Amino acid sequence: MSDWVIIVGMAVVTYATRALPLLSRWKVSHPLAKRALCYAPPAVLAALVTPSLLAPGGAVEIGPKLWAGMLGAAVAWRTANLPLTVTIGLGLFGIMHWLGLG
Amino acid sequence: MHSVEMILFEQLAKDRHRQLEREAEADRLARAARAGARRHDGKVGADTSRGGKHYPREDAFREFWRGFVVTLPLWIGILPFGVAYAMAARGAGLSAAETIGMSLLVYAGTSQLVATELLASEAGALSIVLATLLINARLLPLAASLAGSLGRLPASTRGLLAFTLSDPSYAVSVERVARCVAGWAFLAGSGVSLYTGWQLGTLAGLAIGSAIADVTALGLELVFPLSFLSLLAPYVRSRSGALAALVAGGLALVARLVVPGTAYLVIGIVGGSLAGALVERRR
Repeated sequence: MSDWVIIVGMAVVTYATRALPLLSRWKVSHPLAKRALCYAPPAVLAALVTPSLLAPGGAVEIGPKLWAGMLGAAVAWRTANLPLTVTIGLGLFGIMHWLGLG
Repeated sequence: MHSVEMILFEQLAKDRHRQLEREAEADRLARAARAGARRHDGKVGADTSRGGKHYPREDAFREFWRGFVVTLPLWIGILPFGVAYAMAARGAGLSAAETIGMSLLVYAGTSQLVATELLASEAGALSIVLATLLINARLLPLAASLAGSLGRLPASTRGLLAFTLSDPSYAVSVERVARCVAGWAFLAGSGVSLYTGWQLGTLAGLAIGSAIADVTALGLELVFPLSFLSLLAPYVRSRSGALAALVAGGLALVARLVVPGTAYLVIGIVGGSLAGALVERRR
């Protein structure tokens, strides 16, 4: 049930970002804040990725997840293709796991 | 413009723009000819130049359909994204109903993937909603830039239009909205098209996910960071975007090691976005 509370909360804030500028005169006015908002998506993504590849258990861990992530980063850089990045990264992880490296 | 989907679909959108420009021109000529004919008939035609409620209804329907069809090629990008989300959501322990419900109600891909990742790591409701707000705050300037052209519409129409506003629908429609009186219907058609594609992708992901017996056994927790890397790629091509990502990633990693809970996210996000904004100002 609490998952639904989260989903509805997400829906409300997301709709607000879409609708507020269309329905009201409210605006993010401070220029620095306005620009900072533009950088929120890369910041969020990087803040999620780095610990989950480098320190998945809460301590720094150099392992197959990091190698899979680095290969994934290279594919992402070249193609920005989501399914391809996921497939190749998972593939390397699977191979390393299968070889007993993970 | 800093948005993943937009960059992914940039080329497609450019082609569309060119095609639409030609169509809009033909449209304008046809309308002018019709208006001329009406005037000669001595009847009062719909005055499209004033906008508001005075646009001809058939124009709106046609624009809606046109927006819907023009956006169909973008389904190629949105379907696999929906599949990835649904599989990740199931892997994170969301029920099928919750997985679909989030797509129907939230309808914002990146934030949905991030939310499922946070749910899997047992983050609190507040931090998930906050992360969603931060990610989707990028829609604020999109909506704000449309506000001028859509201001004449009734508030209820604007409220409905906002629901399906996304980066790609904005990219495909923005010029049309600015140029044509019934452009808002084009935006609506484009938005509904992508919304439909996203729901179908989600359903497909659920079907595929349940075909694989144990989703968690495949190292699928890596789907999250790998997806995020591909979503991140377009941002780091600019120097300020790359710096925002570097600072956010570095701060988050250090904070993850020394601060309990998911505070590392807030620390990384705030530090990274400020760094990006400050560097952009310098230039």
